[in-house]
Amino acid sequence: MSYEPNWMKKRRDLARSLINRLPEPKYGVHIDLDEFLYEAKKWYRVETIDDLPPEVREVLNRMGLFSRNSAIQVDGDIVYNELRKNIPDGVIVENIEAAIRKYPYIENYWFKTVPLSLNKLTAINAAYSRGGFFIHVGEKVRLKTPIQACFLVASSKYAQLPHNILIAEPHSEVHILTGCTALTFTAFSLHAGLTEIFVKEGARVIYTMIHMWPPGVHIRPLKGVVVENGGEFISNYVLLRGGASLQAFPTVILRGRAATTSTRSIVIGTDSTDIDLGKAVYLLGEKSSARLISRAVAMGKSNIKIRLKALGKAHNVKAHLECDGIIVSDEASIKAIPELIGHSKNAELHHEASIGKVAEEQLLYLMSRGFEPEEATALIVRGFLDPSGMGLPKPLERQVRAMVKMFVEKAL
Amino acid sequence: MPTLEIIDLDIAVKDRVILRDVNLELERGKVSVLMGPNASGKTSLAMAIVGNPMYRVLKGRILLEGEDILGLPIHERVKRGISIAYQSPPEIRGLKLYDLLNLLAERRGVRRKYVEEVLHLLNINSQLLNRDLYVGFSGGEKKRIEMVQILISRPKVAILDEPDSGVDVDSLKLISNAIRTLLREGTAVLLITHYRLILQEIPADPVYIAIKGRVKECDASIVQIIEKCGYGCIERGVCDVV
Repeated sequence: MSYEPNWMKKRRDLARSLINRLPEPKYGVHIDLDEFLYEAKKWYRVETIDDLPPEVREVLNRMGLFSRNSAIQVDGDIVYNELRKNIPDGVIVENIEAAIRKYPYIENYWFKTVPLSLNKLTAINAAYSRGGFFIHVGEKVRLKTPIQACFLVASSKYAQLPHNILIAEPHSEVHILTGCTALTFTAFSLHAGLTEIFVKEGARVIYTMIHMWPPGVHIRPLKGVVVENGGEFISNYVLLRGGASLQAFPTVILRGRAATTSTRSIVIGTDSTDIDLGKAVYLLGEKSSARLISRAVAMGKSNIKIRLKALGKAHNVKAHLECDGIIVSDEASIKAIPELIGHSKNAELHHEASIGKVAEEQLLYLMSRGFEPEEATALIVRGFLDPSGMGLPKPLERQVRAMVKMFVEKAL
Repeated sequence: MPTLEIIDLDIAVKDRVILRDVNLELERGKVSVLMGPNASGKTSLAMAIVGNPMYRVLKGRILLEGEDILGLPIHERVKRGISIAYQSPPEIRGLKLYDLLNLLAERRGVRRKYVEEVLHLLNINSQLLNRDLYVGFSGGEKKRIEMVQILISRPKVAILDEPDSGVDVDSLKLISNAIRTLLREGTAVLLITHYRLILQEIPADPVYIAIKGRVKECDASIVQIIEKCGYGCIERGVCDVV
């Protein structure tokens, strides 16, 4: 363990003392968190991306995230980081351990969006976190190209627990693109990274995540976001493969006046994966607004739960939740669980949800154009999951579309 | 030998028989017209020919160039050369028109130049090509794009289900041009319509009338009679042309 300041050591001690007293995570299938290893072998830094082990390069390539201009963490170690060379003045990008030593103010952002004592998993992350990124975008700095970071689990039984912190100062703008995956034959491992995001007044943060997990990995990402006056948080999530199980229920707190968030999720359930995915938005600032859209396709024997929650506690807040699901296989299932809570007489909160099979009319239409039933289904499902509404940069949008095509066709 | 021959066909939707004893022939490079009042079974006949499984054939045969295609599923019939332009095609979000046309052209081995000619013929611009299939399209745009798909498919038999309904005069002319192109390429066309206007552009013979659960063959003069006194006189037996 590298040098850590006293405040950090104290919090780790506190977290360790709490682990066995805290409840299991509320949602998701049960996994025995004591079964994982919280220390793994050391991965050494490489100078160029071509020096990465071939199996790491191969899996990043498959996700379309093999980029020289990126940072890559394997298990607990950041093995490659070229971000610093390409960022403008006013932006800090560091691995979190180095940043903690350099910037004492990080203490004020550590476990400020997610309570350390929320459950056993948050305490485990607080106690044993290793790796992660610190990104601090200065006031009025607007980054044109996304900052890209990848997290890869390589060791079986290992629990990957990075802690990322992103601070967007007033009127700044940044797009973060993260890819999370594991080596194909990684067995029974855990990814439970924590990401804390602070969107200050008038700032705009776009956060795009692409997940592709092989069947042996359990995924429990934790995320908390706080948005101040006039700030905007846009989240895009693409789940191509959900591993053994995946549970996430990030929280966005719209604390400031006219703070906004919009999130879009594309979820593909394949094999026997169990996915329990959602988002909670707390509209605490006057005139704050949220739009959460989720699209899920359940194939194989997958089970998908989508939980969307909006709580309106200030005047003139608006939230719209939308969840659509297509079930392609009789052995698959989707459950939509929307929750609206109003604590203000003029809060406007809505939800729409629909779950069904592929529309017969569309299927027959494409078959009458000569497509086999499987081809027609794939075209409809790919269209349903089309990322064009996400506002991604065009090259990334094309990449996501190609990956969705590949995964849908493979699964069908 | 007719390109398509329908012999003594009975068609049902769920448990309700829609049409009985239908006999009809489509010839290469010719247009046959199917008319009839609303809910007389015109679309049901079209759907039965293409093989939509919701329209059950209780008896009879459908021969394509002499081969019975009744046992074939919808996509196999298309591969054998039957194509349909729908009256109300469905929206498919996320499926770009451009991508669909490319896939169709690829499957049919149609050259890019030909696709461009077809798009030009039906006045389809690049903005439309980049949109999701039929999402927010006008009625005329839908009809023209259905014709584009028919032309790219280069079918032996084209069933056009009311390609002229709800379209303006300019679109009607474009659609008529597309039908003429089909005829030049030797396609046998079944044109379902309510209106005489398109028949002024496209010479059609014979005319089939669907009425009271039957389909009867008439000569082209029936169109004027229907326009004059409606289907009512046929239903009441006042008119003896049928």
